[in-house]
Amino acid sequence: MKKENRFLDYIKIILVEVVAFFLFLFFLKVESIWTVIVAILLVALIYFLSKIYKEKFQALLEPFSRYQNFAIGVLFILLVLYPIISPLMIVHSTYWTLILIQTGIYIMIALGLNFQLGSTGMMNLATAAFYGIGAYTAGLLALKLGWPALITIPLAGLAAAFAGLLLVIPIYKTKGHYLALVTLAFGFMLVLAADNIEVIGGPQGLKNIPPVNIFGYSFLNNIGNLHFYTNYYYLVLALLGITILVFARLFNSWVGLTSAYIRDDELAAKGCGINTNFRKLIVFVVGNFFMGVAGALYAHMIGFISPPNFQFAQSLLIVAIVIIGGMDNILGVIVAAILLVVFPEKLRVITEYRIFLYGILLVVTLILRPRGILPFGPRKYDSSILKFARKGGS
Amino acid sequence: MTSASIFLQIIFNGIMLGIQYSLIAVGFSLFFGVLDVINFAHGDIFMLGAFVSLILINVTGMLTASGAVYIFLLILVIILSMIIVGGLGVFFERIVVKPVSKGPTLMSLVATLGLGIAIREAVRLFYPRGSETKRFPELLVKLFPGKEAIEFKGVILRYDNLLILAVGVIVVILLAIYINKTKMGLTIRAVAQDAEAASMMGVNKNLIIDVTFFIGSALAALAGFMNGLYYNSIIFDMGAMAGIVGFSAAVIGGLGNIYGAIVGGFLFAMVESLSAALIPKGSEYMTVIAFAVVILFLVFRPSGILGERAYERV
Repeated sequence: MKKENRFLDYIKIILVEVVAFFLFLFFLKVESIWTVIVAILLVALIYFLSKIYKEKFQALLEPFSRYQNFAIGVLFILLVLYPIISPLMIVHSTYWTLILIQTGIYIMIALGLNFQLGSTGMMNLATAAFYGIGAYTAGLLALKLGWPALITIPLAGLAAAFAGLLLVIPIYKTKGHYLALVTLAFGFMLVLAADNIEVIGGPQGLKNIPPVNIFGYSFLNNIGNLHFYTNYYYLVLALLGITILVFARLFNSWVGLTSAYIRDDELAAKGCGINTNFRKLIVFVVGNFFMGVAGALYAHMIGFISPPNFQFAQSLLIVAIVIIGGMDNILGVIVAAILLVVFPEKLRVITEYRIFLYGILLVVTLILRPRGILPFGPRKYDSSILKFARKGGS
Repeated sequence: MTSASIFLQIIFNGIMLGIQYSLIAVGFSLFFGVLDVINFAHGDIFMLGAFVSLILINVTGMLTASGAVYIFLLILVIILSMIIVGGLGVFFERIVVKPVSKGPTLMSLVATLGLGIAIREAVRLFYPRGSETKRFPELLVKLFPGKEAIEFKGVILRYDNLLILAVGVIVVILLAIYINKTKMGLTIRAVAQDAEAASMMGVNKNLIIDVTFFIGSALAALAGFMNGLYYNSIIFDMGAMAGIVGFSAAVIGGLGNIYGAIVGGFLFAMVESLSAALIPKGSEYMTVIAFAVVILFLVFRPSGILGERAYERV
């Protein structure tokens, strides 16, 4: 590869990402129902153009697959810069920062579910409940024992993971729709129980959960003249980065491969000597861990949690994110989360009809693209992995 | 009241709920049979049934009628609401459920959830003052002036509840005859067993799917009517929980098996009403306990009570 060529590719990546970033900021900035319509038309136009000018489009996208790490790095820098740039452009920037934090939290949960549902084919309709277990664990530990967030966040993850172990026998014995029902019933039980147990606040929930405080630095402090949500924005961004890294590594490792084997043909996987039940349990526990962490973040940031936050409707939103994202596709999950969490906020202008349109959009999307926006294709093993395999062999 | 009569009352309440749950669950089982989809919009079809019958009660003006005309109008309302909602069910099947059922199973799950949200919100937005609880009138009391209910061995039976019981039993028997004894029933069972083989034998698969959705939705509409009559109030989001309970009942019974759905519905309702009565603070925990029983059932009978035991073949 020539050096100028590489430089040109870098420029292309930066240009595309910066343009996309500012378009997104502009989308957040303009407060009119027309932005939504224009955004839809723009996406449709890009999709249409990509069909006509297939080769030019490919030439534009090719650098992304070649220099993946660079592309991710640029995106990361843009996301880090976001809280600094956004107040200059957007009037209600604090509000949108909060929405983006929430999107980040949803992406974390959805990635946990993606590992269970997309990679291994295990339906989990209790995601919101596990997320709630994390939130309640963190809230109770912080309120009753006064433990700092640095301890409560990982413990919340562990609590959600171990709550998943309660379902060990159903996971060993059921699959498909039946497993879906078991998890659904489990989620309902937890929410109804939380509603009725007075020790954890009953229907009133937990109030005044202390904010995150790392080594004496309270997250309630403003950074310069930026709102204190910016602290949480960076915390969520960092944890989300770790989550994505973990799941990307898992996807590319033998764990991801055997998971895909179990999803595609459990019996054949068993026949090849894979302990499918144990594998499924591990996948379930790992996925739940991240949901618990996300719940703890939410509890510390908002400071108030109650059972309605963790109802079935939330689980549905997360399932929708994973399925519309295309299953077993980390990038797809992220795109779908932005679509399903940020987009409805824009629709808030037409408050009354928001949920109605949301339902219709969901149906129309799935009729037009029945395998999700970015469906998973067969795994690609490029030359770098083959090289690695050869190196390992010699 | 003696303890025996309390027990009888609990059983009777359980039967009332059981009829409603069963009628919803039958729809889930039927749809799963012919299309292999879980139609999560079914709970909202149930809600539509309650609202359509309320509209019909007002439109026909049956509350001002009396005697034989009243009975005629009552039957008309029940049958018309079933036909209208059945038709809507077929409409939704044509535009949403069938197109998405060709994709992966889970896609259809999310699409039908979206459809359910859209139906629920449509009622909330377009029904006059739709976000409030609506009063559903008592119907049979008018025919027996002076007495609200009859008493049988200390058990209080409201006339409306007796109507629910009678209609429920009649419909279940008719359904069983239809599925087992008629040619259409035979073709439905054939499509459920193997759609491809059935269409090779000259069965019009699409027609059967339409018929199945008509029956399933009409039964859910009847359940909605009964629910309105039982609680005397309806609200736009009553379908969300009903759908989940119906789905649970269908799964407990064994998906695809109609009798299983009926048994599952009664089982769920009995567990609910027994735990509401026998356990202290039970009315708060009754659904928790019912769901715990669902989980236990699935652990020990992973394919439902009447579901066929699945053997995997390579």
